[in-house]
Amino acid sequence: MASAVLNDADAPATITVNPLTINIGAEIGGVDLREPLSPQTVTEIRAVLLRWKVIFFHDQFIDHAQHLTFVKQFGEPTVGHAVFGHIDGYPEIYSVAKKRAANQFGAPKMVAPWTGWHADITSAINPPAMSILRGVTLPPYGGDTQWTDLGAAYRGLSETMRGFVDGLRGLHYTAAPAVEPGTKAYEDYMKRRKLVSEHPIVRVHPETGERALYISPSYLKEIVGMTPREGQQFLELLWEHAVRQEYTVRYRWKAGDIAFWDNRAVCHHAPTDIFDIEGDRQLYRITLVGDVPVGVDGTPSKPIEGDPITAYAAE
Amino acid sequence: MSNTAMLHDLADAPSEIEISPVSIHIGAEIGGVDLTKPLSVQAVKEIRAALLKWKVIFFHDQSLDHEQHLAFSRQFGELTIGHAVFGNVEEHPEIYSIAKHRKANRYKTGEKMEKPWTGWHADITAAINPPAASILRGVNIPPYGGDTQWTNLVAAYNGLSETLRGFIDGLRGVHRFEPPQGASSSEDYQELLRTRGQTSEHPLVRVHPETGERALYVSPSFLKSIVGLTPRESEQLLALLWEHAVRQEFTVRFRWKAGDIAFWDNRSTCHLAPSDIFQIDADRQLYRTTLVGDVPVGIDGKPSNSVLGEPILAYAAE
Repeated sequence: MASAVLNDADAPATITVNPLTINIGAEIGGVDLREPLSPQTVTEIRAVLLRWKVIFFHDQFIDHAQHLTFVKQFGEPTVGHAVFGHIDGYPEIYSVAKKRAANQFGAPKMVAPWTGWHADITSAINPPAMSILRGVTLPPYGGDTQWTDLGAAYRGLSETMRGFVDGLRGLHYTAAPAVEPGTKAYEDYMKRRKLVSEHPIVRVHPETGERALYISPSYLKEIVGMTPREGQQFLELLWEHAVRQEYTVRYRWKAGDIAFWDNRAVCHHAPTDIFDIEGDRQLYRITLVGDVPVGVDGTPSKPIEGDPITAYAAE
Repeated sequence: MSNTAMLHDLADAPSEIEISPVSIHIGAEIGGVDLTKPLSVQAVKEIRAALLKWKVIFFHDQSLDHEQHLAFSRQFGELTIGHAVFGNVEEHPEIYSIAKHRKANRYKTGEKMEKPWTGWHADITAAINPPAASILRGVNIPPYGGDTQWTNLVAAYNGLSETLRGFIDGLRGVHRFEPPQGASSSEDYQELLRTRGQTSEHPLVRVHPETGERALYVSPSFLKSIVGLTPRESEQLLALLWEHAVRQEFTVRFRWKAGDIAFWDNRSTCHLAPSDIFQIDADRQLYRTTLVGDVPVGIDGKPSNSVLGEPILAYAAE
């Protein structure tokens, strides 16, 4: 009954919803993702996703083709990863393997509380709207993923601070850690598709109208109109705040699990503990084409470098 | 065309005093005057103009006694009681003793959290009307060590981005007496704060009443929080502003000799008392007078408001 109390008035009829925290995360039951979903179920899953920001499905042992079929009911898939490519035979599927090109940095990172947190590919002018991650090979323990609710984070700022950040914009791009250049493989990837975009610091969600603190820590590098040191300190204030425990959910994977998140309203954190153990970890991800973000004043993001991430079929 | 001449206004060059700037943004040495004697109207005017421009001015070889110190100070404004909280020297209610071991330093239980801005302050900004200016006279000075530093809060304000200035222009901060973070106060320090405690809310950006300049009014030792922010937001934004305000380029560092006088505009500077003197045995004795100040006003024309304590009035008026 506890979950019912926390749910919205229009309770779903064809799925079950089990919230995991106050702000973010819900488990969805009552569906078999190998089969096509009814329009009602698609509507309900979408509504629950918008409300809970990340939703989890268990015991869904689907293959690549079924993964694709499932996600196409919610939008158009992009190419696997705009920068890091895709798996053989499935141009829309990105392999989230333990040792992938995106992880090939040479030197140790400076680790702050927000290090590693990001929304997917916010360096693009239209970052993916949603990401659907499927767990295939998972260690018996370790390798949890976390998500944070950027809407709750925005509301958790003081009114004074919200009033200020409402008018700010930030520059998102990728860079290998400054301490040492990345490996050659990483640099080659970077050259192949360099993306730089200016997004509002507060994004108005295109479906819900909710304001989110749009501050993807791994991509956001500068606040427009601030000196470098002001920008750094101010971003640290916002980042530290955005990943406060009360806005987050932590998920322990099992094979057959699927995590489906609203990439416009959350940041997530990939596990680093898996590099301390031998076990392999393999997941696959598909992302859905996203809109160009819009700020509180209605101004859209501005592309600085690179092309939009369009639907795979259109490329 | 000397360097000095190039760096300050040639148009209204002083006729009675000599001005030698000591850094780009702050600090000038004043020569050509004998402070043991009454100053001409013109000399007072020129010294005041130099003070407003250079924020802190220094006089050398002026061996004043208490009476002469008072007489010199009075030519620039009304004097407050020595220190609104920590008292005054005997027989001279308007003189405050800056001795090495004074009451204001007695919070020695516990260790201060040292940050780049620790110890920096403008005088008594916990008051609704902090002193307008302070005049500090060096009497007993160690052969080396014990330098004082000042920072130009107008230059600091101008050094912020337009974006950040736009935000802080509308903010206000709460200033109060409290021992430094990490230290706990002694009994008599606490007793003083109980009876003479002061708390005021000032604008973060103060418009100078004489020059109209905007100053980043962020006296680190007194300013505790920003109104309307959460405690952590406030702590982080203040750290940003404080770190910025004491950047080396906005500061001057003064090495004292006996007979030196430092005269600063307490509305547009913060200063840092030396801490290295506690590592040596030598004594250090200075005396300070402070001039009665206005209630600060922000960019929106709104004055500060008092939360606790009385204004610091002219001594004679008390």
